[in-house]
Amino acid sequence: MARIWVPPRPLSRRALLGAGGLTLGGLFLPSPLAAAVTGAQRRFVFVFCPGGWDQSMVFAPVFSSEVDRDFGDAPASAGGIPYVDSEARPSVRRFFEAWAARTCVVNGWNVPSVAHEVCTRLTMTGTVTASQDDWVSIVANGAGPEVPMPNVLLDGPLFPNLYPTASVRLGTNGQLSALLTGEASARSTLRANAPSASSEALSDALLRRRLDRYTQRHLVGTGATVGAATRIALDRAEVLRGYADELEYRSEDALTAGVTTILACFELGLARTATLAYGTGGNGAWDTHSDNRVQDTLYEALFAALCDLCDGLDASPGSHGGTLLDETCIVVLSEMGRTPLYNSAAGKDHWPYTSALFIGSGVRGGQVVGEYADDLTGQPIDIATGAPSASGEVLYPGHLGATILALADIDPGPWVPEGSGRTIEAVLE
Amino acid sequence: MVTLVLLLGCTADRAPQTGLLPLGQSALARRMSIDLRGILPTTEELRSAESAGADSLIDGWLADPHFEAHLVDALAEDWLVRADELKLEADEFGVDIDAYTFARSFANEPTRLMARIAAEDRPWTETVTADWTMANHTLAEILPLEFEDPADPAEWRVARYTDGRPAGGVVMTSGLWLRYSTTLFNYNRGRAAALAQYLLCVDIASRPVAFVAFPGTSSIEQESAVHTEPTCIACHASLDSLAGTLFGFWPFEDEDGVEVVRYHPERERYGEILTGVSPAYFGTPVTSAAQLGPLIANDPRFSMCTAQRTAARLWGRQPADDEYAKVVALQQALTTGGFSMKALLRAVLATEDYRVGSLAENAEDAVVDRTRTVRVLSTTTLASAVEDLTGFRWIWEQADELDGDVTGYRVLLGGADGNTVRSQNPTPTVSHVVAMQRLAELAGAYVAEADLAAARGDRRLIGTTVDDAALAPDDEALAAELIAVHRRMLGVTPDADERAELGELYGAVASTEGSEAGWAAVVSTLLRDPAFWTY
Repeated sequence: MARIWVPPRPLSRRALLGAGGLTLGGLFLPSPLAAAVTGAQRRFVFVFCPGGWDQSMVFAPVFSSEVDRDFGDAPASAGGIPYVDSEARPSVRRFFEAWAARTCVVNGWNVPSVAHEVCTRLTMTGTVTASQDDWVSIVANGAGPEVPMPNVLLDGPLFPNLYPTASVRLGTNGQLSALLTGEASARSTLRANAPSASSEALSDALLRRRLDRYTQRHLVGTGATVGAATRIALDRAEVLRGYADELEYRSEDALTAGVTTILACFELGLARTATLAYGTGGNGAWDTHSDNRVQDTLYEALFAALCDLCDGLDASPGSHGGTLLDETCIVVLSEMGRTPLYNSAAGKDHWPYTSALFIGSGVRGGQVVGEYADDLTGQPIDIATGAPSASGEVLYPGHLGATILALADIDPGPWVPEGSGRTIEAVLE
Repeated sequence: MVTLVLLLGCTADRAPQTGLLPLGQSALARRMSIDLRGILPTTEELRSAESAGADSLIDGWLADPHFEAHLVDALAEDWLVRADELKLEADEFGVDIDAYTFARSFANEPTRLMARIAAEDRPWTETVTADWTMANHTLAEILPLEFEDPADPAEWRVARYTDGRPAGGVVMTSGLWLRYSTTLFNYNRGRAAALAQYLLCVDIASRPVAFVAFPGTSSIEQESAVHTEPTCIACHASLDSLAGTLFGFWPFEDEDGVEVVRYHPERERYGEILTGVSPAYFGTPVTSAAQLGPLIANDPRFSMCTAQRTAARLWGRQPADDEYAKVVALQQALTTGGFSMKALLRAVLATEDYRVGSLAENAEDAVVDRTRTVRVLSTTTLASAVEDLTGFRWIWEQADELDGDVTGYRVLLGGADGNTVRSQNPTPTVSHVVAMQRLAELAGAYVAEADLAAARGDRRLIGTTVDDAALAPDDEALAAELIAVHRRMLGVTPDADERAELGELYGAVASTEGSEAGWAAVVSTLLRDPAFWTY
């Protein structure tokens, strides 16, 4: 049986979630007892906002004639981070007031495309080729075989190549949980008798012997890969059967259910990384070509969830003396930004310059790295300091990827081709 | 070398220069049957393959009704048309249809059309020139179609649009453009990109944009820039003019179902007014959308792309850059064969890359890296193969659970949803093995109950060698029956150890829970075996 990655002081999830409901945002700094985790020990949460968020509504407090915005928007600042405040988005203010010291905003990075699919692949891999793993898969793979879900994938885009087994999909309607418990078998128009427990056990045992035989018959090539991956998957499934209830994620309540599931997975040591998407379907809910104010609602829900996630992680004991937040880096991304000006439908169209959030472990908080000009184009920066610099570098997806990998102590070299991006040292603690 | 080859279950043919070792005849027949029909070969067909060679079965399988049905599924997976969410839902059309039936009816229109052309061995160019389409009762309720409603609402028949759209095969199907819809501010560009990608293998959208400064902060400025900025023109000159040929599908209101799915002949030149770009096909002016299909059909990229996509599907991988000559040879097989898809399929099936079963020790690294020695059943093929074998199809609330993700298991089984997952995952994962377990348990129990209650001649899988399949664990007939079941499911005869293990499983379960449970355990275990779901 595979060993599970268990934190030293597991507590009940419900107890922790209850504690997480309290606002602990005053704790801006890591717990005094926290021991710094290494990149290899760090956990990650990736939150993806498909469709292209409007960076001007939160991250870019550029109040120029070249940027259309709602009358309610106002410049604000908290904990060293300037942002755009609005009564329509109170959770944005709540988040920055509570967590700015643990947060780094990266502004003005350039996704060199304006097509959703291409931008998504670029954002997640730094390239348009299919032979490059996404950042999440690369990081998750470092978790090692003892973690049953290197990456727990609630929803969102991934582009695995070398590491297709790194992620475990939960399904968007509790499918994996139902499969693990066997409840899925009842959801069939054609009914069939379920096997007895003893029959299932006998079948499992024979399957493993037959898998041995399959592996012996396929010593090289794709068959060998299939055999090895099947064995790992069976081992992981065996572990996860004991946690099926914790894995019942439903995307209709993506953020609330997502935060709950991620916290449970981390507290129980079931996963090293987690991936969540908010606003899926079609090109994504954030693709507001008409009525851009829809993003008020999206941002409000997103930041409320980020507050819950940070609160929950901060209330949960980590494995190294501090809290889970001390060990977890949250990365929030969208595949593109939106034009500075409204179109004729009060929407905004695709824009290649956008923003990202790095929160928590390993992140030098309380700062903004990168800058927008008055027309919301990204400006070159000194990647060591994060300050604008005419002789600096324009940030690309490769920069983000290299930074994510650096946070995981993974050499970006093999994954980020030279010239396509370097680690943004200014982001790192 | 001989030892290795025997270990890998292959023929002892000499390794060619490439280092690819071919499958044996029964394994090759299994692969061909799955790729052409989506089902496993029968025991008789396996026997025929062993005596006369797998190639002797190809013509019969290309004429099998399963060929057309499977091609519908295979093309749907290739074109990513089966998205669970479309731009519009059934209630936008005032019809009372469940979401799955609605979405799949539209999704399958273009692939049904292509599959029918292949099944009838009509020139593949008709996929872009046909003046007819395929429809079922659902589409006939929604679309302006001349359609003779069949008694079975699920049946697909030839139909013709009555809204004045020109002939154009899949390019003129509402199903394709409901899947690949456009926003009112993107002027059909997404549709043009899809057309170029799937019919010509030209991936316009993947070309990175390289700006020193992004041209224009408003939509108006950006629209202007695509005509004046050299960086923009490089792609938009071809993309926008191609998009301009599709304005017959342009809706004035993109939330209005009727507007979206009907063709509007009077709007064919409307794009010129909106964008200032004249319709053209990569430099050739298009004055009527009726020209579009023939222009595509005569474009050598169309036949090349057809060859490339077909090879990719059957090789289990994309052709590499250095395999251009191979693809050209396949293209020639298509064109010299009168644009026959069946001719192309025969040519692909004859390639070494298709027949590979293992790798020689001297195989070059590049060959090892790219070669797929086994393939994993796609979700739709898994569904059809299991149904053919056991009679079981996993349906829940009208949806095929292996063909969707709302409540189903398509992505969990490694399939693509066309949205966040755009390619199949060929490597099993946790969700794959647990979904396979439940599918196997359901199908195993289903066929055990059905076959044990059926007369011998009516049985699908269990009890084909005996009159009474409710065998006692110590019945002498059990061994022969286990061999028959194993051979039908996996294409090979089990060795003595395997027979003994299966016998022990059957005996342990049957002795306490009865024969039906015993057979259910045997079948479900074999269904979960990678030897079943790889080929």
